[in-house]
Amino acid sequence: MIRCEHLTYVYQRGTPFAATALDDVSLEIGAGQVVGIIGATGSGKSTLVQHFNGLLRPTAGHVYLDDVDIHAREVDRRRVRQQIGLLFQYPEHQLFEETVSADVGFGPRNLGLGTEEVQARTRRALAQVGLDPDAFGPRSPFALSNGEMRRVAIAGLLAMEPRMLILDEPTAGLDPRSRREILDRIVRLHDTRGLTIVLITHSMDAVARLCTRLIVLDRGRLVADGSVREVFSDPAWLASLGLGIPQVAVCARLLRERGLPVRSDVLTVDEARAAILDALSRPAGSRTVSENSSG
Amino acid sequence: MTDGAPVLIKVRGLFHTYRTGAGEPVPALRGVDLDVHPGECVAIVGGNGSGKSTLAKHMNALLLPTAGEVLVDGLDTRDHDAVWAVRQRVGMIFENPDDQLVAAVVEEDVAFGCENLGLPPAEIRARVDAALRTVGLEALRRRAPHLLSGGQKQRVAIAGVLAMHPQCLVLDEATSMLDPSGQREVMETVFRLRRDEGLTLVLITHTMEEAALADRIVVLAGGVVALSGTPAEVFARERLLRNLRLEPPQIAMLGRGLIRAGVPLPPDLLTAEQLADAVAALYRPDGGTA
Repeated sequence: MIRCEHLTYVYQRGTPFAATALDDVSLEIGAGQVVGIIGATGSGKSTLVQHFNGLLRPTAGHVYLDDVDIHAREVDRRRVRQQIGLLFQYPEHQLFEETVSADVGFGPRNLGLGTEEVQARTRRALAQVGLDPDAFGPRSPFALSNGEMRRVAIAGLLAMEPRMLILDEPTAGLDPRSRREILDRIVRLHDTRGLTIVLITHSMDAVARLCTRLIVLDRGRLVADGSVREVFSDPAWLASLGLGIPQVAVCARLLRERGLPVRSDVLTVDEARAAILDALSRPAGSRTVSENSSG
Repeated sequence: MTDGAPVLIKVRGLFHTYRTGAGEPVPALRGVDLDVHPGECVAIVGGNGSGKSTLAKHMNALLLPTAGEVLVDGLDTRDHDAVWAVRQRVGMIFENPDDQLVAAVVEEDVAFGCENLGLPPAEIRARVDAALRTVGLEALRRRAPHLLSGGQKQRVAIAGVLAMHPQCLVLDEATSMLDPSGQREVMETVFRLRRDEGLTLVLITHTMEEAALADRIVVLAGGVVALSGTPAEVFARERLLRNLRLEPPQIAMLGRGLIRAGVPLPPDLLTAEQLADAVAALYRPDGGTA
């Protein structure tokens, strides 16, 4: 659905402060995927996704939505932004209406939709992020907890009925419960509505739990694009990029170094538990062991 | 804890009430007692709105008690004349590195706090040099702070605090905006300072893997201390933690899952290394588990 071809972006071009934020990035994201984008601070993650909905215009290269160049003259960029919802970092700073309902309904009202449709979309969107429209709709957004404000901001995007949701560090600064609630909601939006999800995060645990595909950026260049397991299979290389792997994967690797035949590509607590139980239950399972016992 | 041990930060019956724009009182702390001993590392955790950051700001007189008291090295934070002495003893590092850097050049930024202490220039020079060396940023001393990585910016902020020769560092979510290597950089720096220089650490964090590194975890909920103990004691209370919007680190959950499946592991494994060592000790290539 989104395709970038040879995308390059230079900040403050033509000044002494010119800095290349993206350097010849080509990629494609199909409908229904859940893609994680990881990379050190300054690697170009936020700059990249701001091209997906046309907020930034490439210095060179092209961005296509359904095979149409989004910067072509005849394209209505507002329609692009309606289809590709982008949640910025700390979106609660952008809430401004007097009530939660008014805030969530702001986008649909701007689309020129009728009052009934705006109300219907607002209620649906609040329900989708797990906030009861009757209880939360009339409240002031500023009286909510951080996690609730974050969910209101996501509801504001959902009310536009986008096809793709891009979330830039959606759980930064939230407690573990709020983190889990938001990530679970995102999974459900994908599973039940087929929404395409792009997640930018520093949490390797979150991408391991949610994403099927990982894109890795390093100083503006795309340096890896593959399944989560493939990308996490080289921890030393990831560490050299300022990244890491989930703690349970670290543990599995340490066990292999200590001689246990544990699968090293585990991503979650459940997978790690199963892999360790499996290794402990089959003493003759590894080839070296059976060779030793026969010798 | 031990009554006779010296106390660096003593919090007694601390209440803090904010006022909304409309003048409505919002209680954030409702009677907190806490002792921080010299050289220890205490993690303060809790859900959003539990009062963690409010408590942190009382530790160097950025906030003053609505009721109760906070004593830092015996100095009462409510005593106007003691404020700078308190802030010299307890340095704060905040979440957003960009909000803390004030100067155009790294070394000037590090010198900023010392200049406010009114120290002679030669003394400031020596302290800045030492602080930059301690955090490993001597090579970047002439750089513009905004060109540094997130982890480097936080180390500049730490150097600025160190130059004031504090006894305690309070990190208020200091790694939450950093990438994984920036997080490691900051944690390794502060734990090295604790080991080599005996610096006391207070970690305010949402990251349970960081809290697991502390000697003691204090869990706040609704402005009171809901639970405290060693990391192993606190993370063993999984159900209570979940009710308080928290959860044990992944490794602790993995360890618990293995125990439930019948693997005879000790219950207090918190890091990947500890768990790997304990599981490996059970493994007998020729005969299943020991």
